[in-house]
Amino acid sequence: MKTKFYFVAKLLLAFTLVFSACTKNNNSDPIVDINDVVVINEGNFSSATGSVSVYNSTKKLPTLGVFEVANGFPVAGTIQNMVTFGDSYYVVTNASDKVLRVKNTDFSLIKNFKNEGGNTNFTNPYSFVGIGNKGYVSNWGTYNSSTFAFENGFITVLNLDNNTISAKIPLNGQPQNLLVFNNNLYVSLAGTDKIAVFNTSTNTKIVDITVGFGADKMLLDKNNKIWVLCGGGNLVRLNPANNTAEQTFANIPVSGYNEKMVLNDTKDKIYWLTTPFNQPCKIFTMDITATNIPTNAIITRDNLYGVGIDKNNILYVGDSKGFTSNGVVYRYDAQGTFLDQFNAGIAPNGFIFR
Amino acid sequence: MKHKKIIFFVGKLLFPSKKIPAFICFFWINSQILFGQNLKNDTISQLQTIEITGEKWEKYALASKKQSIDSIYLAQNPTQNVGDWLMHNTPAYIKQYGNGMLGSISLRGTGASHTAVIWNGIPINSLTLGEADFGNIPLNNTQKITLHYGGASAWQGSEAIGGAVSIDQNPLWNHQKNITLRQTFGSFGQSFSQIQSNISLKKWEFQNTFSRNFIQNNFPFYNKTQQNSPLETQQNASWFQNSFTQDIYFKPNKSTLFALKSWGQMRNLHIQPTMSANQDQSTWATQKDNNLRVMLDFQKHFANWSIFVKQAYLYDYLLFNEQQTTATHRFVSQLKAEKNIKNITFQFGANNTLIRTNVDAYNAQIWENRIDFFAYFLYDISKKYQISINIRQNIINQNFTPITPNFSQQYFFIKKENQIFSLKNTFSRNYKVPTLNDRYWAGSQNPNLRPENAWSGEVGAFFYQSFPKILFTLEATHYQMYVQDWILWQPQGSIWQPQNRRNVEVKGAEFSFKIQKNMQNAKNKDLDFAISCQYAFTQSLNRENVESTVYYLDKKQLPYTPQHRWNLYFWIKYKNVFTNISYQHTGERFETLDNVNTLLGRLEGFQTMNWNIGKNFFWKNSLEFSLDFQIKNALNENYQNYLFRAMPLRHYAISFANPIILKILFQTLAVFDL
Repeated sequence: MKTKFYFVAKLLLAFTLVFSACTKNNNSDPIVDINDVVVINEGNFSSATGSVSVYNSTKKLPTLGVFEVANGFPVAGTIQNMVTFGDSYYVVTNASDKVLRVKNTDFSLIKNFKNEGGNTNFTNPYSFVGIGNKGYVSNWGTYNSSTFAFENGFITVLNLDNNTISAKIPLNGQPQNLLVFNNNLYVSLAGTDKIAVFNTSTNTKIVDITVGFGADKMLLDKNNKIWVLCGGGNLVRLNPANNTAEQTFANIPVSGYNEKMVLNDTKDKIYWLTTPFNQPCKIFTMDITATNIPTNAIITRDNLYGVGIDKNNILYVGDSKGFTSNGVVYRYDAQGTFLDQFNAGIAPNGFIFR
Repeated sequence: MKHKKIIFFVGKLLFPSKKIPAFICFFWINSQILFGQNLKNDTISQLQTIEITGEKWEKYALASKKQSIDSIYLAQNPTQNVGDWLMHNTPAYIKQYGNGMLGSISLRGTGASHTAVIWNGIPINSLTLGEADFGNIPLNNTQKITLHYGGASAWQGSEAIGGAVSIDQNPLWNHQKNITLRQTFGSFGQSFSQIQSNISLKKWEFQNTFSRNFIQNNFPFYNKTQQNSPLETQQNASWFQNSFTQDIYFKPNKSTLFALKSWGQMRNLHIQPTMSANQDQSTWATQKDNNLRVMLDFQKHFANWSIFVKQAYLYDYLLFNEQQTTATHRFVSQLKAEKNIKNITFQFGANNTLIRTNVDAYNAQIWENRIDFFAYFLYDISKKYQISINIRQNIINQNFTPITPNFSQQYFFIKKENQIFSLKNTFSRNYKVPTLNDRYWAGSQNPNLRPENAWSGEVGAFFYQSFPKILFTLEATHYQMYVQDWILWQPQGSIWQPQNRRNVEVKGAEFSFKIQKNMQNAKNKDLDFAISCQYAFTQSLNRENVESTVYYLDKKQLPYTPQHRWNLYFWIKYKNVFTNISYQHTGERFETLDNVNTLLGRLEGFQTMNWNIGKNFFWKNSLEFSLDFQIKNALNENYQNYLFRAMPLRHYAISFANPIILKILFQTLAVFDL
């Protein structure tokens, strides 16, 4: 019994040393110079424990809580998305509803866009996209706990020159993801089967494109085609030249909400995550020229929550550990062979590769 | 009818809300008899002499540790809730989601739904959540609260894995008629008013309380989630709570007792947001709670046997954000008999609970019937050695849950009037059935869910010595527990679903001592004091069979389960002046199961201390007025009990009991009316 206790004590001591060593690391260098991967950790909703961590893929060394270290206070929100644009990262959080603009060199805060002065600028914001001096933020709207749906969604327009809120665009349907192409803003409306297209010069709607129920994640491939993953099970290729759906793959495995889909560096292969009920999670991949949906997953594992792929075609896959502990990131090669793993914050849901 | 109008007017003055005078009248019709009677008050000294008869199961739990609330603590902290008492006076840890907000318990390292709350012998935990909100059980309308440590499923059924908290009301039969009025004003717009009356006649007794507690709760705090931790004012945290209890006892003869007990409560709560959302109005939420508990109790005692019959109705209603309703009705019937043959006492009976729900989140209205059969057996083998064997079987909709045996024994090495030394030992199996939410939440139902199952054992030593000047009590307990199939809600794709996920190994030790003045042969009766101290060490380790990754989760302490807790309680009284201090220290807690020591992962230990000082004034012997000044969080600790939920810094309250002017008013009323 006693030896067991000492063993545990030593183990704990070793852990403390390792982790304290981790957090003290790299204070002098700009943190991202040596860390080529940014890990977005969503956090728990109830205590708003979202965090940002980084990973040095050469030394295979993760560093947790870089936002707190850079700014002296935590993100204090549930991070839905973190997007790189210009010289900044935009961290979109709910529970508190805000968008944190931080320098992409050292994560120091440039601006905290939030609800202030009696103005509701954000209500459950989800994602961000930038064009020129404008930033667009999608807002799910207010949760109605008797219908279990979000109501009165809208888009917040940010002026990125002077860091102010410039407009709000009301929408029918819960806006989810955003994409900008050819001066047009594409807004997927989860809860509907549509993508709304806006002119970014006038912020007025041009057209609605029908794609399939639960329109969600959008990506632009190397042929300038937009891929849309819908929570209802459709994968749709849009042609932004005429804003029509060119091809629809129906009844594909998906997550059902907050779809996670990424493109490789050469933008010719998509990877997406599915989280079927009562089964392990799966990651599928498909060539943009494919005519059939893949039947076999390349990765199958419990509690997968985020996916990313770097320029060397190494897959980064986040494991939420069921939100009971901090998460883990697994690395795989492009064929789905496991390489190694590193620790992250609570519920890693996405990655930025520098 | 004239007096009723005046009463209505007084009620209006005290309680400006529209709905209340009806309650008041109800209350007063029973109480009017006291006008013109000799108004004698339950001061501290009298409270101590109250004789309380315990619930009938307690004697079978002979080896279990238990702790009742100190009558002085109860009298002097009327604005506190049961969670505050547990936090400051016991080793149980209460996770508080803000000041006066949800308080969920962790007793002996178990979860919030592993402690049963028992009102006069009937479990009252929420059927939907399986736990009690200790922030919503006020101290002011209770007479006796007891914390029972360790598994008690044999006596209390589901959820009594870590232990049980019992709230009991009993007749006093002290032939007194008294009324107490209390008023407290505190920091952050707190106002508490209460009327309490006891009328004890030859065959009848009436006990009533009515209280209203309101707090604006706009306390300042340092917002650690913002740049430079600015000092902010807490938003959206105000609440009020109206509650009443009314107990009527009728004793037609010495061996028969009828009781009608009721407890009603309504609360309107703005849910204190996390620090990060303090200015974020769109995320704020509200909650309304209504609870009604009514019980008809009948006891009949014969030469060497007794019967007990209970019939109760419990209604719990919760409205979240003015939108989502969660309501349950419970009809409880209990029949038990106890027989005594020489040195053997045994009890057996059955308990039937019929449940009906009205929950928006379920697909349909649920009807459910639960029946429990139980038998307890107590054998005094000798004057020094007792054993008890207890067993309970619960059947839910014709499905058997685990059978829960309990074996307890106690041996007295010394059993003298001035000295007691005993060793106690108990083994038990305890369980928790999945909650209604676990089983019926639309889209998340898991048909394979099993009841949580726990095995536990403990040994305890008890020592008591009465010295000429002081009384000394010392108790030490060691326990071990293994909880299997602990239910956790886990993401299953886009849906969260309850699963029998976790196994937990708990090991712990508790120490307590109490030193009290020996008043029996004290020369100086003016001075009285007591000091008590408790320490608990709790190792509650995850044994979930998890995949080994970069975080090692095996044998890690469960989140929000402090390893160390200790508290100190001290009171002293000299003539009419009294003061008391309650202090507690809670060790570090972790936010996640990996116990990683980061800014977000680890919450530092904290201490809080409350200090009361007061005086009782007498006027013409029969009229009394007491004044009490309280400093809460006297050490001005800037702490977080739950991550990013603000708690107030040092704050104050002043309490009056029995204001003379009101008493004169009531006496005048009595002259006019009776």
